[in-house]
Amino acid sequence: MASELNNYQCPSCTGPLKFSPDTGNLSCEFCGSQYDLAQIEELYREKENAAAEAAQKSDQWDTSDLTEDWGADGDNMRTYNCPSCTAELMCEETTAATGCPYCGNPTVIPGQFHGSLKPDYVLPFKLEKKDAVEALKKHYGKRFFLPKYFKEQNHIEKVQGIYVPFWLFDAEVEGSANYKATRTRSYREGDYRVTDTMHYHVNRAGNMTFEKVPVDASSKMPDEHMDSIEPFHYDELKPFSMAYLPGFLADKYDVTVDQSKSRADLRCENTFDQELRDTVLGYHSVVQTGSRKVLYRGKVHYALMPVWLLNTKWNGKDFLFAMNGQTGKMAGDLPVDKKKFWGMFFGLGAALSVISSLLILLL
Amino acid sequence: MMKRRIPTLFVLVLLMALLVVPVCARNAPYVYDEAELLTQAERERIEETCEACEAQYQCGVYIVTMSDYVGDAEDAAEEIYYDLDLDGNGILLLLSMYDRDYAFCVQGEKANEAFNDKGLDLLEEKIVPYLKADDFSGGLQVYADTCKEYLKSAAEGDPVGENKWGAVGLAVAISFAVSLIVCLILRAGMKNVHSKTQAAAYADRLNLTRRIDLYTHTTQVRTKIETKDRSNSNSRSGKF
Repeated sequence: MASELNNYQCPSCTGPLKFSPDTGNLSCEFCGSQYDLAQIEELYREKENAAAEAAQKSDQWDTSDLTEDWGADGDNMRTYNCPSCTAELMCEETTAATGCPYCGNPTVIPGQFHGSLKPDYVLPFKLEKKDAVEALKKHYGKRFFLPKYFKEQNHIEKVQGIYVPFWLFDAEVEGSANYKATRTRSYREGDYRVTDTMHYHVNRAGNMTFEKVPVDASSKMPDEHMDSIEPFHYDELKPFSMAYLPGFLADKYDVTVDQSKSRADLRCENTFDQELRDTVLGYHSVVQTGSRKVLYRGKVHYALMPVWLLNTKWNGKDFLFAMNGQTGKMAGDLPVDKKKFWGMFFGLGAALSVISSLLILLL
Repeated sequence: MMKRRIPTLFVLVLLMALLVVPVCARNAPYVYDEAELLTQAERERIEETCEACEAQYQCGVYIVTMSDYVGDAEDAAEEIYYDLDLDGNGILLLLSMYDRDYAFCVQGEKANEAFNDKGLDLLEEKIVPYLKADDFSGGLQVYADTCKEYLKSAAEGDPVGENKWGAVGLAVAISFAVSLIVCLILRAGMKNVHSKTQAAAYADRLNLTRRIDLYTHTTQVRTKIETKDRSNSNSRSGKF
């Protein structure tokens, strides 16, 4: 199992290499060397082959009494050795890239992807940890109902850059819709106000193509958070390479395409309905009376998307914030200070009451 | 309430009488007792009260009694008010004996403030029992006294029947409702995690293949425009 473990070490000084969002290269934190992704991948393919051969030839202790049967506990766990400090580490089965808590070495566990689909694409991180922390502070902003001590007392417990697995759905929707619409005009005729209402039957038909509608494929990631940090811009999407993963966590999918497709279907159909409705212009009222839609499902792609997750704790309650690692869009609900809420409600209500009452009594 | 009977010569006689009455408002009568419901002494006593009202509060208090009138009681009261060329601010009580109708006509901003809807309700409650009991002298005296009392209250900034505290209560309720809406909007800003139900960011433009806008029919609604200036005029009618 440990032999399947890969990380990337600097060919010059053996220090850990990390993917640098700034340059798009792998860089060494110790000697500052920069390496092209393809160059390092080739180097490590050779290294892996050599290591596998060496492992087969070496003598082993008799471990026949040991069992690999973890029972139910082992269903979702995985162990591996850090190639830098050799510490034995455990992680969840779906974790494909992580870091060693002892030496901080960024680690990729290619074996984790074995037996499952290989991602088609990866969207590299563009923003760094400090950007995420800054974005969270900005997210707090000057929100009036934010508890005064929330910013001061809460400490960001964990900031993790995670490549979250997503299914990207291609689809086309074709259909039509009927509407009842009216236009009105009002004019004076003698002592009468006359209102004419012109009624129309409106029909629209069309089709629409969707490309790579994302649905997160990790059960650990809250769907609403992942939806809220959209959109992702696909012009920076790269063919998948392990070389983008060092320095970040990476999950593999545990929600299947079948389990995800209903969300993609709904989003495509709703968008088509809305776009069709938006073409019915120039009326004072529009009511949809019927529609017909056909969804043609296309290709499904598997991609890893960059997400910064920030966990904070305040008053014993966990708060999760997610930031799009490409665009910096932050999502996360903030706590509401109930005292401030009710204070403002009664304060503003009382102030408005006094002003309006004085106006009534004095005028 | 609509009547189509030919009136008596009341209006004509009244207008002829007015021609010989000096134009000065103070010398004009306040009580036109065509139906002869009052004695001379009763009429003079009531006139005195009405005159005091105009002198103190610049608002006329008028009474017109007649045997019959044309059309609607309220319209008749208003018509007589203008025909008699009464002051801009005033209240007129019309009594018609044929169908035992009564009607109030209130004209002018000051009069409308003193004799608001609620005030007219209270005035009706006070005088109608007298009229029903055929105590016209008592009823009309109560009318004149009550009008004086209302004008006094209005002059002191507290018109009878105008429930300012009710308006204040409503203002407080609206203020707290506005405050709640503001607070809820601010609180909604604390949450930005939502499920997405659309995917417009990942879609090409809609390719519209059919566009039909078919006119079917027209419907028409005609509403009578209310021409009466309600802001400075109010009226009320009933039977006794």
